[in-house]
Amino acid sequence: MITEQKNITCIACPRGCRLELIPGAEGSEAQIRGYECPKGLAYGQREAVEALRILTSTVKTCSAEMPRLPVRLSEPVPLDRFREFMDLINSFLAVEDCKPGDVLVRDFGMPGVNLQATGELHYEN
Amino acid sequence: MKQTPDLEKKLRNVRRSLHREGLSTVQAVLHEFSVRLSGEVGSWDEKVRAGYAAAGKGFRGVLNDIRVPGVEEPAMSVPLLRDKALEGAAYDVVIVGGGVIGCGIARELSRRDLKIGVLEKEDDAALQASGRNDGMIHPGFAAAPGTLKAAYNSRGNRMYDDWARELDFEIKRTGSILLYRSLWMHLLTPYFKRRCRLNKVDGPCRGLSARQVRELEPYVTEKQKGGFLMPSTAYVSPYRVTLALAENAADNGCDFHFQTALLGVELSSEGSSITHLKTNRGTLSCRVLINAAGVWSDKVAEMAGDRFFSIHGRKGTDAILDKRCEPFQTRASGMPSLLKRNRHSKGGGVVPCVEGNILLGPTAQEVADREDYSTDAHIFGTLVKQLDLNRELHQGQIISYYSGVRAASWEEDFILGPSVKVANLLHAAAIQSPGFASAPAICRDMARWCEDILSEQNVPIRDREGFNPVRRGIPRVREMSEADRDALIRKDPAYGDIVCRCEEISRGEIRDALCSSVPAQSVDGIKRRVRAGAGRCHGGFCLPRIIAIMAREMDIPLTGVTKKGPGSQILMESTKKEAPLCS
Amino acid sequence: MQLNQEKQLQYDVTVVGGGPAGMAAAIAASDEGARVCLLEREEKIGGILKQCIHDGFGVLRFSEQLTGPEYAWRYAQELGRRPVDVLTRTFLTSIEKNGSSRDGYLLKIVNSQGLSRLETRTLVMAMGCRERTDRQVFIHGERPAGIFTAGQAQDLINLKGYLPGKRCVILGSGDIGLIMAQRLTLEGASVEGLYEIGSEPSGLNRNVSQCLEDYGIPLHLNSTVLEVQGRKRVEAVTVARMERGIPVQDTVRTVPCDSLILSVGLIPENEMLQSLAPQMDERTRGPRVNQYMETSCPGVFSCGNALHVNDLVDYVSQSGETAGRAAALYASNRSGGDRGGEAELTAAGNLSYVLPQKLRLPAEGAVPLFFRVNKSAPRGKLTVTHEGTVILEKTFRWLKAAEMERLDLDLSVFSGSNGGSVAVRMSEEGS
Repeated sequence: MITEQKNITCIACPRGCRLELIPGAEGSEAQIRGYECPKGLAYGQREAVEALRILTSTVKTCSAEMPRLPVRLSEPVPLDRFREFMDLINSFLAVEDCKPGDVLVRDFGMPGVNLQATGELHYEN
Repeated sequence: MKQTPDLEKKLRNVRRSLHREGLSTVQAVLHEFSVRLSGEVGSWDEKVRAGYAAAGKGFRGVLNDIRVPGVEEPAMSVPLLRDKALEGAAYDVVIVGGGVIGCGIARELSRRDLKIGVLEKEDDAALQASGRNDGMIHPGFAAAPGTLKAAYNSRGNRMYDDWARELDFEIKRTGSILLYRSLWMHLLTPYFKRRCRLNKVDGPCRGLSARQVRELEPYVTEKQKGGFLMPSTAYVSPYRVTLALAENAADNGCDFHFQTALLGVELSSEGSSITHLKTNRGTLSCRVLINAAGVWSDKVAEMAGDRFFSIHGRKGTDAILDKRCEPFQTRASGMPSLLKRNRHSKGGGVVPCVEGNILLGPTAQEVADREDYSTDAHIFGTLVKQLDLNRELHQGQIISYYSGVRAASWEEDFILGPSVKVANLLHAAAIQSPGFASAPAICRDMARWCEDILSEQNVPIRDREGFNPVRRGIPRVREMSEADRDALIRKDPAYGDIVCRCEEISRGEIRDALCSSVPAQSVDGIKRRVRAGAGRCHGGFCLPRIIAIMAREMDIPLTGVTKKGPGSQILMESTKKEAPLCS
Repeated sequence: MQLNQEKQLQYDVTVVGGGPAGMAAAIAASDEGARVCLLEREEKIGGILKQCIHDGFGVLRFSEQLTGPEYAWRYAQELGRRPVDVLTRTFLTSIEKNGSSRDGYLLKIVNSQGLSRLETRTLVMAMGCRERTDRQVFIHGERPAGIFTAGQAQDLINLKGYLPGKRCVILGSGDIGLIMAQRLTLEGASVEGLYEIGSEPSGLNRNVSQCLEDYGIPLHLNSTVLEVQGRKRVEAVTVARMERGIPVQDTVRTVPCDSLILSVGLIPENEMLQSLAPQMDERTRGPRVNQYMETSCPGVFSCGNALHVNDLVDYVSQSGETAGRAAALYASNRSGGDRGGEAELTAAGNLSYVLPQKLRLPAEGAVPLFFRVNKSAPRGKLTVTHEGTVILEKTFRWLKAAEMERLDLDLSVFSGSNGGSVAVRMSEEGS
């Protein structure tokens, strides 16, 4: 749950309303302002509880031709923990062949979240 | 020094001119045989007017030391490099400046068995005025008869075909047209013809009716009422010419020292000859010093004890149009500038390039900073007005623009030949338009004068054994015949691997640019040599690949690749530094 | 594949460009039984998707949020299962007509095996687009290192693994610019701000929200970069708020930074196509095509971002499929292109363009019309008239200049007609 006011753009439809998320007192539900439709309200409420995002990035490889392998997390994770996840991603080295969808690490930083390859890596023997 | 009545009279002339310009705060005094201006004025424009007011009064030169409060005149930028690589080196001839003049003199002197060194403070040849101009080989019309510019221009123009053949650069000799805006301008044709005769411009130069102009240049705007054709005007790539000269000189034994700036000159005790040169890379000795230092040639002259002229920078900006415009203009066309206030620039126009692009420009703007290559919106606005000269050209075709700074003296003429004061010093100074066109003639004469000085010092002038005037450039794969191109790729597959898509430049050509006798050191150096990244996407696609090729060929890390020499690193650092290294 | 000078290569369909449009075209053409060749200048197919490691691709095609490399990989796998000759690191140097109009085209291609000729009945041009550069948006100042297009920055960070700057200013709010703001931040650089000369972002809301707002990166609308400072490397940029194209005096500021990243528009790459002199559309900067993506040059088709700049890769693939299939039918004389006539479409009112620009009639089925509005509007009514008769009307809400809209046009409304003019008008109207 948010602890301070946040102003965001609603992405529930192309209209792009400016939403104000105002924290409620003592853990109560946040107040949402600026929405123009129920979808906007729902989006604001979700964002106020926890902003979840898919993190995509790259990891280091040992290949000179392909020094970086693109990766993603299999599940959306809290936006405010991106830094931690980036640190984990930055310390990973892809040493084996893989293709998109291959799981590189299970329970990566959080139970149920996997680090997945999104590109193909092929080492010449 | 006792002033002769003659010089006194000239000085009074200068003061009268200054007064007429409303510049009474400026003092004019005699400095040896030159006139020196000092004092303070309110603007850079006033300083410029004062300089011109003192010119043409019969002095050896004009020294303009006027201060303009609030306007900084930055000193020459000096490379960061400091080492002792040149400590104790001894040359017969040292040339300061790696522009077309410096490289051309080096190449000319390399015919003789001499030890020649070229000092260039930048990391490549042709980085200042020689690489920042439109590459037009002027016919020799513009300069006033009787000036050095007039004498050297048509002679230099004529020598370009030999240079092109020996040095393997492209030249397009399609002529140029001065456009007449109104019918009365046809009355000028006999006057123009006479000037061509006096300046020995190669012809036949002739007046054109409006219809004849249209036949030659179908897309030139309808507004023109005729023109004057000069068929000897030619077009080259200015940096390619300069690099070709440098490479041929290097092939024939000249040493090129880049990132090497002349910082001081030691003279003999009586001050009449040069003994040592101080640089950021050590102190060396020479028998003859040649000053070909472009916008800094006045400072070199001063260091060498022969201060008699000042250089002022005059910036010119050109816009580059997409290659697709090539069919719209085959020869330069511009309006003659007949107004007196425009007398120091040729008025600009539309100029075709040997590479197929079209240039607009150049403009002319007096600047305090001689290394100011910035462009600005205001100047750009005046530049795009040239688009009116051709009805097929429009602003959307502009892919880039650049500035250069002309090294102008107040007398607006070349300063060529041995110093009258220092026995082993030669100047090739204040070289600006038509300097590029005049270069072959200037370099030949400069080399002869240099040989004369060496002979006086009893240095034997012998021909260099094995001198080869022929230089083969990097193959221009795209322009080859199908059969030749195919054969070349079969011999070396790198020529079949296209890196720059807009200009169709192969990895082989880029590699060659990195291992020629004056190799490219930076991404811009590659661009100048083989045009990789010079097209319409401006390296949008190929830059990452060019960086990778450079790192591999030069055996340096990717972060060591620069755009334009030290300090212009392109990549800051590797991502993922936390990750373990591969074993 | 080994090329041979003596043996002339012959194909029904040659696809130029191996990005999402070209891959889809090659697959569709092959599925229609054509002999297909795909030319790709890079080492691997996939085009720009290879460096678009963010997600959001394929929602329409696969009902999934894929990353660029995943989307490309799926198509590459499909392509690999078909008898298509894929020539990578192969560069097309020229196209010429081969004899009379029905005889197709002669291509010259170059790769590290040499120079070869290739004969093809039809061509599908799928070269994508390039980015506008700093010079094309008239930024002045010096030319130091540190000025990159967003695409260059993306390549350097995502493929090469290097940061092009540590303290960046971004000009232009195109989608790649927004995405690079996020990527730079996550990879450890700081983004000082993003400047957009327009009054609204030119990228999608989702990207404004998830690439700027999530990281607290300020977005400066109605503002631009006037000048770059620094001679060797970027040291700062001069920015200002603009009013009617002129900097507002007291808003001119200097922002210290080491790099300037530009996302100021994309230009379809049609230089090679233009050697055949097809009719071009000034607004899309692509060729004028009919619903089969066929240009005015017989047997030459265009698709993807070379045709017009798309927001969604799904539409790029779709146009590639249409072009590839039509090219295959043309090559086997099944297209029926000689019959009937063509109706001309014109965009009017608050519409920047409509695509396709022509309809070949009579024809069956529905044709997706793609269009963009000139300026954003809360509501707009789209009216399609044929020879003065209204044939379709639809009201749209929350129209954005940044977002392409789509509407299916059922061709049965043209019953019997062989041509005429079709006006597509977007009118602003109250609710």
